[in-house]
Amino acid sequence: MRNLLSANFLRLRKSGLFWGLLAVMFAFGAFFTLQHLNHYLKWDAKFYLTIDLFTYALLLGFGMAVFIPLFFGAEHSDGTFRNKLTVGHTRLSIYLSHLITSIAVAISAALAYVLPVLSVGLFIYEPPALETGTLLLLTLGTLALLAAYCALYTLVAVNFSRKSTAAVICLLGMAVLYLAAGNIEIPLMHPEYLSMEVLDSGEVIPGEPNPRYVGGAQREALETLYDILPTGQSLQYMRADAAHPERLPLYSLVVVLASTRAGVLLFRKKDLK
Amino acid sequence: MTKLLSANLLRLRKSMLFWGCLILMLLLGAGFTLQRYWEQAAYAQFGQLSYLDEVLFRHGLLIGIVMAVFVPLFFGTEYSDGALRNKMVVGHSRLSIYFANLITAVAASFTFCAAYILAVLALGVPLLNGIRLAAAQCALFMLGTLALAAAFSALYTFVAMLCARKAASAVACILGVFLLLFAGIYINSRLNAPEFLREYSIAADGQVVEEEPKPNPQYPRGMEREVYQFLYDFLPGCQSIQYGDMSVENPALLAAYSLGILVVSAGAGAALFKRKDLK
Repeated sequence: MRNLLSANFLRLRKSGLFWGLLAVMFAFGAFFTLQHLNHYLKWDAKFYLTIDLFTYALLLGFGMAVFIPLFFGAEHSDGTFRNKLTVGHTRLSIYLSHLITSIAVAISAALAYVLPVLSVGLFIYEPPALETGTLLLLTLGTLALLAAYCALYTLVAVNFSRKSTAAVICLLGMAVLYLAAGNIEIPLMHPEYLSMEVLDSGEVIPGEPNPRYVGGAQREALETLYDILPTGQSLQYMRADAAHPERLPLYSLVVVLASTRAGVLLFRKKDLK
Repeated sequence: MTKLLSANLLRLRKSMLFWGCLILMLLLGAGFTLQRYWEQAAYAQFGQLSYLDEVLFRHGLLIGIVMAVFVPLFFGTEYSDGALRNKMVVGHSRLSIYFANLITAVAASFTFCAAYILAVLALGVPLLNGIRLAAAQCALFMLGTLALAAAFSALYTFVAMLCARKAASAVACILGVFLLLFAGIYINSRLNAPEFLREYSIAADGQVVEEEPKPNPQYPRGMEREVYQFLYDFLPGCQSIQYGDMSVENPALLAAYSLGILVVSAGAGAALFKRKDLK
């Protein structure tokens, strides 16, 4: 396993794709920060530090959908998988080494994004309106989410021999999950009442009920699905407004375990020709 | 050229990818129409009505994504199978190969659009209310979406014919269309931002006081606004967003931009393909 990881990290160091991903993430972080810096200098606009801090949770959903199939797909076309098996590595260790490598890449790319945001943002942004504990939980949650994305894409990249098919499945899968999260979010955003009246005593009198409001068991089901979907989590982290920040990392871990289990089972049965 | 086109069309007829994309467009057309119908039924008591034209031109939004998958995968195999070299060995020029592929891609995109429209009309005519646009406006919208489909086809053909690696060209096309669509959403939000932000405060006597409106930093002014408006009309992803929410104000201008993109990318692609080393 250690040898496999060393080999993967050596390949990473020489990979243009890896350095390209880091450069793109750094550029995104710098672009968002410079835009806010411009508004800060021009209009004296105030922003909280969390405004862009966790946007990598969404960007890397797309970034890793490109990186993982292209980086590991080459092992199918070059026959590297067979070579690794021939020298005595198990399929399980090959799979897990790929997963660990891709998680390490995702965390490096997230750091590349955060670097410009923090280096400028700490001086111009307002301190986050969140408690330190919540902020730490959100940070941990985004790392678990990145692991979930990596696990899903590794499942596809390792089990599809054709690199182009794996890349299309990962990218389109991410787009479909993103649209699904967006469509779940819309009904959850509708307020329960069309108007509210606040009396002098502070009592709130609800007005006409909103016909578009989704309540009861249907709301709970939608909220749970929104929390489980990696893209639903990405949207919540991006805005730093997760309603259940303690649940999200647990759901991500379940996704990691389930997809890794399924991926390993499929990879064990796969004919590597 | 005729033989190349016949060969491409024969490949299309036998391609699972082509039939898969066609069925997907049919299903999306049916899905969008039924969604509008169910929404109308659910909120009938509030007088909500759904119209056919709300979904009829939405293929303008979808075709960019579908073609980003179809073109690189369909034409990318010509590199890996050596079909490009075979075509040249039997005497076809590089120009005729490029334009035969471009025409095939445009024909496939029109077929996908037709499948979507067919599904919308088949379900929408009996279930939804009629079209609110005038016949001439409707024809312009249709022309605009088809010109957009041709522009997307030309851009993807450019990438697929110049990049020998199928996976790389598929990723470039799909990421490219997502970037263009996100650019469209971003520019739309900037153009629709209010010019001034109103702020309210509560005075000591409990009265709500409206403060002096502040200029909104998100509102583009002067030259910046003109640049955003031009990009919003010119970029194919931005046009897709406009056709998706039916906010197109000048479909003839959008169609002219799409045709411009088609001509420039086809010309540049053919010129570069002529010099490409096919190994």
